Amino acid sequence: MARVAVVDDHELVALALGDRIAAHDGLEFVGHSETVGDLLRSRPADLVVLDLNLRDGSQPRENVGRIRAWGAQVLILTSGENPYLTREASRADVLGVVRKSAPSDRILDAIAAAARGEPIVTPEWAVALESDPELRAAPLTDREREVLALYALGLGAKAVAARLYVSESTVVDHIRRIRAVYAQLRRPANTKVELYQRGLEDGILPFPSES
Amino acid sequence: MSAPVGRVELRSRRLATVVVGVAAIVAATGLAVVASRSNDVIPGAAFLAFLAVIVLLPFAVGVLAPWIPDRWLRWLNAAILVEYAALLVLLVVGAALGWLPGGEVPWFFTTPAVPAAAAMLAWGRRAAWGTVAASVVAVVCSRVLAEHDPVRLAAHDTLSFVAAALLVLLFDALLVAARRLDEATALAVAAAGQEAAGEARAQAAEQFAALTHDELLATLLAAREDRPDLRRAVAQRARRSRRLLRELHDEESAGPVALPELLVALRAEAAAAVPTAAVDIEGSRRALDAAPELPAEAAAAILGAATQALANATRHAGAERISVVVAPLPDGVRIAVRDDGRGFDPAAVPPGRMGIATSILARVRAVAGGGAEIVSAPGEGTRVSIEWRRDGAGGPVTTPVPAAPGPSRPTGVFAADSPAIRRFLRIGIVVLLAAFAALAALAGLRTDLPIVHAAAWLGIAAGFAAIGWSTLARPSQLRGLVVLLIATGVAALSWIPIERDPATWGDAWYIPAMTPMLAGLAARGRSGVAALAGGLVAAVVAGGGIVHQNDTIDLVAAAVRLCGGLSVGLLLIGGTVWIRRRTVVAQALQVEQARAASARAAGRRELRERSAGVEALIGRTLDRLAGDEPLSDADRAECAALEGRLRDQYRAGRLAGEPLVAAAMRARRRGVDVVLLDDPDRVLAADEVEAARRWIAARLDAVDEGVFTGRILPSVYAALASAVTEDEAAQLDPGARVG
Repeated sequence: MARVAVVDDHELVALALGDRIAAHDGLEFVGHSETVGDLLRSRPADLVVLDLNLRDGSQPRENVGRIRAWGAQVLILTSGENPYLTREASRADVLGVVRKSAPSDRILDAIAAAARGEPIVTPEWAVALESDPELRAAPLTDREREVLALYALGLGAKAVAARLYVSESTVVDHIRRIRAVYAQLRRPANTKVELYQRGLEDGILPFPSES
Repeated sequence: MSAPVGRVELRSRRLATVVVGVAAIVAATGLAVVASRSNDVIPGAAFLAFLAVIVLLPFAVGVLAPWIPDRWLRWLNAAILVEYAALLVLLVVGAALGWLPGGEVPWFFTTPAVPAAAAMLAWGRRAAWGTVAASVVAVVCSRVLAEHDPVRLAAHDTLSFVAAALLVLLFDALLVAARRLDEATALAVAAAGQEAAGEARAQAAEQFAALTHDELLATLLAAREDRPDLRRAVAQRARRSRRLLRELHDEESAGPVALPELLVALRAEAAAAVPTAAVDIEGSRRALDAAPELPAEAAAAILGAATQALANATRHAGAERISVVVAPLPDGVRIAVRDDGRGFDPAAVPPGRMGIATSILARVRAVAGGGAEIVSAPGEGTRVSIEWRRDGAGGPVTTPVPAAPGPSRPTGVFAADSPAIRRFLRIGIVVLLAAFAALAALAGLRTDLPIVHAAAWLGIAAGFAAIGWSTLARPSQLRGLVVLLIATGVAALSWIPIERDPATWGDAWYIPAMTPMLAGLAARGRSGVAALAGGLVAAVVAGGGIVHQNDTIDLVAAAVRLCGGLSVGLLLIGGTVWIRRRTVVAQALQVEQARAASARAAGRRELRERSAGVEALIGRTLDRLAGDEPLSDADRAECAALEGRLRDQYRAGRLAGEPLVAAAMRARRRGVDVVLLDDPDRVLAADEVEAARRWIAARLDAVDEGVFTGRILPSVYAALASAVTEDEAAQLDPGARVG
């Protein structure tokens, strides 16, 4: 039984999700925390479902880093924020990014897959990576870029495989490599402030805006 | 007369009017000293009576000036000028009719400084120079008509004209600078108001987005689930959301803010400005809770200032590390924002740059109990301390507050160091020295020791040179000292016994001729040395008189003129500098008030509009959720649809418009999971956006289940937009016809 914890400061989300996790075969719900700090003081878990944007002002990358150091895998939940935060989290080694507004069955499937250690590929994640200017210079093959672009359009794994005339497991291999390359992207060199400034240059602000 | 005046100009006009009063007394004293010696000019009693009458009005106006409104100031100055002219006519006519002794030039008429200055204040620059010119012409003509020895009186008349011209120049500089400051303030106020309104709107939008994100989306998402066990929690959240919306709607009363609340807001601001800035607390959680509540105004000011400091650190300082430390105090709070950026010299903020001074220092200092300090040096990072204390004793406790780097830091009376002003001053000095050369020559011709006058002239020329006019910055202490020594040396020339025939104070022309030199030194920000030099000159002259036991009245008259003229100059210069200093502070406050008022209004309006919009959209649904009744499938579908609609405000960008919004609502009610994405880097024309919306809407209408992703594609794609289900992808090519 994989132990799953939820970190979300919307109590309703945690309530709804917690019960579904508890009811799922093969998943054990170990609890809900409002901050990463609280999580680290509670019972150990194998997978943490983490809200991308916590109200305590903490940063996704830092949050993911702390949870990974604690020994758990991370699956990100987003309410549809801009790609900047998603990228931040993706660089810090998460299994995937799932939209809160997705049907709850799909969210649960994603949690179950993540609990098995499988990467979760969603358009949210693919869009965030694809629109990252730094990725243009990254050592990705044309095929890998194609896979990413198809996911970013919103296609599912099956459709991507069909379009490229390859098997789904080949697509998964491509995804693994994209993830690995992305996680290494200029990591040691850039300071956090630099990263933020680049985000500004890209026209992506860390807060939601209307236009 | 002219348009209504600003605050600084009014203040300057009042100061100038005071100076006119003082100048009248100084001129009268000088004349009385001269007259007391030369009874042959005008009989004593009549002369003194005239003097008294002529001094009375400027003196009275000068005393009352600080309380007189602008219009009256102008009229009263006009009255001073008219009175002067009237008395002059009376004297001339009276002499002609035999009522008064004639054949002489009325002495007060030879000192045009007072009427010229009054003309400046009444009607402006032209009237002032006109008065000076008229008096030059009139005095010269009357000297000729009265068959005076022009040589004998040249020194007196020349120095009088010089004094008048100097006074007019200083008044002109004062009024021009005042007008510019008023204009700059008006502009700054308008700009700050606009800027603040924009910032406040953006902030309100963010605040509202945070509310939407935190409250509404979570509530709607939970309501969408078919979970009777969550019904009560959903109702509770819905009521809370409803209340928050209503509060935003008529947000008026800003109550006091507890420090932990401020901390939350500060963290949010820090995260928005610099996602990586750490906000730490110095001290215990208990100290945080025990700290007093801040008045809303103080909290807003502190938050605003801290945000500005963070923005400065990222935008301008190029900082790598930025830290924010919040220290709760028993009677307040202290916040320090530090960065390791390139730093700057707070004393060298370019004139007119309001940024850090206004936004940080003035904003906090404008609040009762608020204090702020900026410590920075080039290459050494920047530390901004912001503090608020309940008992109102503002000012940081750490170190004394350095002088605020204001928008302009004039060291003297000159508002700007422009080549035009420098050229004008240099030409003026050359003309002045030429006139003095003529005086020296006239005086030298009549003595056995012309070398004395040559030395005096050289001394004065050297004094002007020592001040230095290649820039208008404050001269060094050393230069000030040199001028002081030169002045003393020139004064010491009066000790040399020379033959005077006949003895007139024209022989001591060089003593009052030092007035412009010392006034120039004072105008450049060295008033102290200038005053000291004036005193020393007077002492040296008096000392010479005592030592030599000679008829010293000429020299005393000369020294009186010097001291009188110099005092008028010092008063005017000191007043100008004082007004300007006060203005910098007043201006910052004015700008800050405009900013605050404008921000409040704009922020409130923004929140009201947004909350009204959202209320219209989901108010009914929230009411339904807030009740006890079980939710139907239709209710849940509506919640899903509304959640998507709100979410589109973040990520749908240009796609959040009709007919796509309506199509997305329909599809979400049908159970389709609709995702709309817009990448900001793709530039599209309005009709392309419109086409993309219609095309995606048409595709969406054909979908009945599953996930649908509509997207404006990034610029690396040739296609404009895509519409994708999990199995099928379509792209909209540029130029394609959309039905």
